[in-house]
Amino acid sequence: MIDAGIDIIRKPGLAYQEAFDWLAVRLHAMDGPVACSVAADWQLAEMARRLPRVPTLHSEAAGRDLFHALGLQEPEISSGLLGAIALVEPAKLPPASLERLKPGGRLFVVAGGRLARFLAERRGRAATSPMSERALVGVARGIGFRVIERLGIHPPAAVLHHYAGEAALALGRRDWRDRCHCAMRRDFVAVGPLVSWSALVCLTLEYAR
Amino acid sequence: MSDAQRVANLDAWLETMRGPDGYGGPVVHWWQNCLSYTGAGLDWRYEGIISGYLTLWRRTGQAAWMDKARRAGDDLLRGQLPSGNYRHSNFELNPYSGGTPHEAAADLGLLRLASALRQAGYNDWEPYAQAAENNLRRYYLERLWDGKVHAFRDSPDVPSLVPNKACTLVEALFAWAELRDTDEPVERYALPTLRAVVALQVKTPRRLAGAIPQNTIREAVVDAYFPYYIARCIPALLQAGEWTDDVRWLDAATAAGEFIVRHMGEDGLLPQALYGRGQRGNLNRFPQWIAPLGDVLRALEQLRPYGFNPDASVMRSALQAGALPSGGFVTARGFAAQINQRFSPVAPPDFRDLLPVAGWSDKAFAWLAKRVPEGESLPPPQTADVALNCIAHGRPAQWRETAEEMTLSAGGRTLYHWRKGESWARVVAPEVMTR
Repeated sequence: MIDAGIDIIRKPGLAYQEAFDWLAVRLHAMDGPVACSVAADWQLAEMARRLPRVPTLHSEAAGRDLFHALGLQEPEISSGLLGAIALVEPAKLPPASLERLKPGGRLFVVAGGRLARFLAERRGRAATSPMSERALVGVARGIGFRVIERLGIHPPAAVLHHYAGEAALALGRRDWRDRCHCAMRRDFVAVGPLVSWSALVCLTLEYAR
Repeated sequence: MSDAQRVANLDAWLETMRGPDGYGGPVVHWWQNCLSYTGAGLDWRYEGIISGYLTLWRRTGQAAWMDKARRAGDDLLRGQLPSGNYRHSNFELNPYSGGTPHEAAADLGLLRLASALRQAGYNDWEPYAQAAENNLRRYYLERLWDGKVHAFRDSPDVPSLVPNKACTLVEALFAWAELRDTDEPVERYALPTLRAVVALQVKTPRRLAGAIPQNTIREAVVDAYFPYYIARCIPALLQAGEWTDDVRWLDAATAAGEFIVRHMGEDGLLPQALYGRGQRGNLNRFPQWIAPLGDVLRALEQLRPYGFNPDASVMRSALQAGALPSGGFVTARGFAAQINQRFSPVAPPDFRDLLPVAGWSDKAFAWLAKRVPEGESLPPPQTADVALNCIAHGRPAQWRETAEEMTLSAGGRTLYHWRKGESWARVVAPEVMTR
C-alpha cells in the first residue's frame, strides 16, 4: 500500500485498462509536449505508470506519494503550448487547460458511455459526476473542436458474450465459457453506431481554431 | 539449421527487443493480449533470458554471456519499486506490478545469477540476491502467504491457489534456500505449498490422470487443465523429491509428465486446455503453443534421470521449426480458431501466431541454450527481415518484422505498428485492440 491510498498492484477493470492504453498510444505518437488532466488518484496512477514523463495539468490527486510508490519522478509542467491534452472523465472542460492547446492540437478524452453506470469504478464515486459523451462533445464543438475519432470500449456485444459465458458455465461448459471470454475480448472495442452504448467512449478532438 | 544457430539468432533477436529499461515488445496470450504497451516487461521472460545466458556462459566459457545475464539482472534491479515489486511485471496484463508468477520467475532468474556469480568468484552477486529476497519477503511472504491453508495465494484479497504459479515460486524458494544455506524457505513455505498442489492432482478418469487443475478460488476447484502449465509444475516437484527423498513427489512429477505425453499430438503440439472430469470431457485445442514448448521439453528432460523417458522428438522438431528468419520464434498455431476451435491447416496463420514474444521465445532460448555443444562458440547470427501473409480479425493481412519495427497491415491500412525500443505502439487499430 502507499500513502496516497492506492495499492500499486491493483488494476482497474478491463474497460479502463483499455481506455488508458488508448490514451497512452495516442499521446505517445504525438510530436511535442503533451499533458493530461485526471479526476482521481487511481486515474493519475494509471497515467503515471503508462507515461511517467507526461505532466498533469489538473488533478485533485495526491501526486508525490504516488509517483514515489511507482518509483518515478513527478514530471514538471512546462510553459508553452501543447500538442495534445488527455482528459479522463472530466466534470467540465477546463478552459484554462484548453487555452494551452496549440491550433490543430488534439484533445484525447475518455468519457462515460451509456453503460458506464455498470463500471465498478463508477459505483460509490463522490459527488462530482463526469460529463457524458454527448454533453462533452456539445461543449467542445462550441469552443472550436471537431471530433475526428470515436471508439466505444466494452460495447453491448462484449457484454452479451460475457453473459453467454456465464450461461455456459451454469451449464457446466467451462470450455464454452472460455471461448465466450475470447469473443468478449475480440469485440471489446466498437466503432460506428454502438459507440454511445459502450461503457466508455474514447474521443479524439481537433482544435480547429 | 543447428540448435546453436537458432540460439545465436535468438540472441540477436532479443537484442532487437531491448529498450532503455529492458526486454520489451507486444504480448499475445490465451487470456489477454498486451499489444499497446511494448516497453520492458519485468516478468517471467527474465527467468528464461537469464537462465539461457548463464547456460551459454557455462557451455562456451565466454564472459560475454555472463555480461548479458548480468545486464538482464540489472534491468530488474533498476525496475524494483519501493514496495519490492517489479515495474510492469504482468506480462499480458501490463503495464502493472505484482504479476504472478512473473515476479517469482524474475526472482528465480536473479537468484540463479547471484549463485552463478558467487560460484565463479565474482564478489558483486549480493545485490541480485538481495533484490530477489526483497521481493520474496515483502510481496510473497508478507502479502500472498495464506497461513490458514499453508500455501500462497494468487491475490492478497481472494483465497486462491494457482498451482503452476505456486510451483514457480517454489523454485525460487529452493534457489533462495540454496544460496543462503537455510532450510526455512523450503520447510516453512515451499513444501506446504507443494502439498496443497499435489492434493489437487487428478487420479481419475484416465484422460486426466496426473493433471493438475489450473486454479482454485475460495476452495472451489476450477476444472480446467492446461498441459503447458502442468509442465511448469514439474521442476518444483522434482526439487521437493530431491530435498526430502520422498518418492511421492517424484510420483506426482512423473504422473504430470505422463499426462502431458498422453495428450501430445502426432505433430508434437499440445492442446491448450482440457476441461471437466467426465469420461468424454471437453477441449479447447487452439491456440497450441510453439515457443513455450521449451518449458515443456525442459520439464520432460528433467524427468529422465528418474526413469521417465518418453519420445519427445516430434515436440522438439515442432519447436525447432518455429524459428523465424528474424531469430524470434512463432508463438503458436491456431489463434484464429481460439473462439470457434475450427482450425484450417491451409488458411494463413493469424498474426498472433507469427508474432514473436520475448516472454515466450525466452522459453525456447533457455531450452535451446542447453543444446549448444560444450566448449563450442556460437556461430555468427544469420537473421533477416520477416514478411508473411496472415489474417487479422478474419481478413487477409501482412505481418512484417525488421530489427527496427513490427508492422501489421491490411488493405493498405496499418493496423499495428511498433518501433522497437519504444514503450508504446504507434498504431493500434480498433481491430487489434483486443486486451
